[in-house]
Amino acid sequence: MTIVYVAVSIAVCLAYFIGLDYVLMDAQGLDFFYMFR
Amino acid sequence: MGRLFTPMTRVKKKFFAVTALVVAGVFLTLPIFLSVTALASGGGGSTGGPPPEVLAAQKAAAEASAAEGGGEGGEEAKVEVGRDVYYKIEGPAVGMPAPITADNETFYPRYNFESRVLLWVANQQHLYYGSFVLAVPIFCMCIEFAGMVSKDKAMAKKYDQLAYDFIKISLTAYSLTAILGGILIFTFLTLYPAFFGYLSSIFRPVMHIYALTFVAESATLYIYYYGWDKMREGVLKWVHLSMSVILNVIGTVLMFLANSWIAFMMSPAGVDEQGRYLGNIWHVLHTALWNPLNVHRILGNMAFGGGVVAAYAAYRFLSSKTDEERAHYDWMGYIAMSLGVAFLIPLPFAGYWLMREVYAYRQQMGITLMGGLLAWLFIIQATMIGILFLTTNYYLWQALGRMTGGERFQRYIKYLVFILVCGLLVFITPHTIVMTPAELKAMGGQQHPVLGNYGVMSAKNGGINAIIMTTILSFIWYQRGNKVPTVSWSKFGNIFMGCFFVIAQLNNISLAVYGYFIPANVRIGLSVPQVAGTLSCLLLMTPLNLAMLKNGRQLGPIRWGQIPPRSQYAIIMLATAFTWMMGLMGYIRSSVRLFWHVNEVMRDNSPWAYTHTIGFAANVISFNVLFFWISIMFVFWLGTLGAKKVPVKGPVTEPIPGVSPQPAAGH
Repeated sequence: MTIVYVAVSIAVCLAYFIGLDYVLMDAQGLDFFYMFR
Repeated sequence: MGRLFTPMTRVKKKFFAVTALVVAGVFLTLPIFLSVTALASGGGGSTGGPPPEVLAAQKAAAEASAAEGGGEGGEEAKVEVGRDVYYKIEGPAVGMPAPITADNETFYPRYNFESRVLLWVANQQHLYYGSFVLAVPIFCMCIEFAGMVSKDKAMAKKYDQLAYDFIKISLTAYSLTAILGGILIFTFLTLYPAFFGYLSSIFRPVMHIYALTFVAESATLYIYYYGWDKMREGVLKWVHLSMSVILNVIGTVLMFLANSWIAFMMSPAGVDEQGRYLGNIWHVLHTALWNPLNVHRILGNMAFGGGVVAAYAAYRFLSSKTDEERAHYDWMGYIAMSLGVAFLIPLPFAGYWLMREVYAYRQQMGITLMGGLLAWLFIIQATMIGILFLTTNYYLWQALGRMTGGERFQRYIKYLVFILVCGLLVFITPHTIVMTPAELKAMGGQQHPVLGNYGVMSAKNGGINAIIMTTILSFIWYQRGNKVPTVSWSKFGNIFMGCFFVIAQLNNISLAVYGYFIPANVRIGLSVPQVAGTLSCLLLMTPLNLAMLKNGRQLGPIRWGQIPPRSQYAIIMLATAFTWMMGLMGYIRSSVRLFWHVNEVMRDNSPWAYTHTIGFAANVISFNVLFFWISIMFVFWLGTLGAKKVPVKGPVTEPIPGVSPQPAAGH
């Protein structure tokens, strides 16, 4: 069960932070994935 | 007391209390409302605008011009139009141009001493006390409210006593603030009459509002303090609390007005390029930097006020003779420090906003601050910020020692120390340093091949956010000190919190590294998600932690008073560092105008229109800090002379008999 908790937590946190970074950069008119395009 | 009143009397009492509050509120805020008409009309007419003699002179000049030109051309010359230097709109130039000064006794009367330093000291002392007396009533309001809504009667009494202790300290300080304000005005009038005359002609419509709100603030403060015992229970207590709301509203208006003057000096608006007032006082007030300064100063004042009250509590703790007193002042210091730190955490973000606005207003001003003449002062500031956070963490770790169960966290503290030190070292690394040619050659260039990489904003943002996140984690551990969550989802909650903090730190570091690989215009935007990540830790994890600890199992009581004395010295250091940093930042903010009284509008032609060396500035700041602390110690001492109220006995925690304060082991 611990592994499931860890996996879910990591997935949720990663999604949250990447989403947050993307949205806040986009709100400033900037491209978060600049380097990868 | 409540049983003495019949229901009818109680209704009457409630009615009178509410009526009294409304009347008091109306009277105390009357100056603001009365002045609204002046503000709405742009400060013109009988209540604002330039002085009558200026208007008369302008009228005479216009008439003379009309007589010379004759006919219709003269009619046009009557109203001269100016263009706002900031808003870029045209308006009638109703004020006199900014005086063009010269280095002589007429414009700059002087003693055999540098006038700027005299004004600097007077300004700084007034600001210290002003900040303190504006912050403390806000704390009082919060603490009194906490006491009123507390279901535990003993705790309610303790909170009430604490709020009373806070306001008692600020009362004496309030008198000193007024005295220092008077000294400041006299210093301005005596040493900088031309500049002060110009500034007061621009702000004439709101000068009297400032004075009247000061009167209103004094009245409210005295009623609030002296009415404490009379308005102790029932609806009167709510009236009393409402007085503190009024007090804080007035205090905030006062501060906003004072901020508008310095904001005008840095980023003038509402005047044309000659400095002539264009008839709209709102434009003069609402300059580019006014709101960022307002937010930054509110937070700064609160952090500073919390620090000073905590230092007072530490001083009383260290001089306490009994365990009971020691427990009370330990608790007081903890509350004050927590409040101060709560405002310290968002303070760097408000600072970033202010700097962004400075760059947006004048890029050159931003470069002077952070990349040019004053950049080294920012390195000192970074060091001070690092010290503040390190000290806060140190106090929290010490405070864990007074809780049963707190020792569970001790072994992890070394990891936090590692993150904090790494973050601090990156945060204080300068971009370039002044070197001799030999040193330059030995290092291979202006920048160190490795450490030089850390001297840029991308790395520094990562460093400070890592420090703040770690502080939030320390605070969460402190909350958990003597408690164990018992909710059914506690295991998942713990794992989730751990993952959240780890990924937040990794995200922060990734963004900092990412900044090295993308252009500056994209990189600058990364600071926003970095800040948001840190705030997410604070705003999501703290409530989650509290939810987990609700109805949690207590491992033991908090042993108030049983904390090593070094924790109290940490608090005193925290407060001193706040004071020093305020002095430093005030100097930086003021000296960025370089040789201007009012940026690009009124030139400073005094012999002191240059930027001091860092060493000299640091000495004056240190003198100001020393002067403030000596005088505030006097205020503290005065506070102990009055009728001594014995700290209320309340079972905040059950004291452990026979256990005296002992130094904590470890760290």
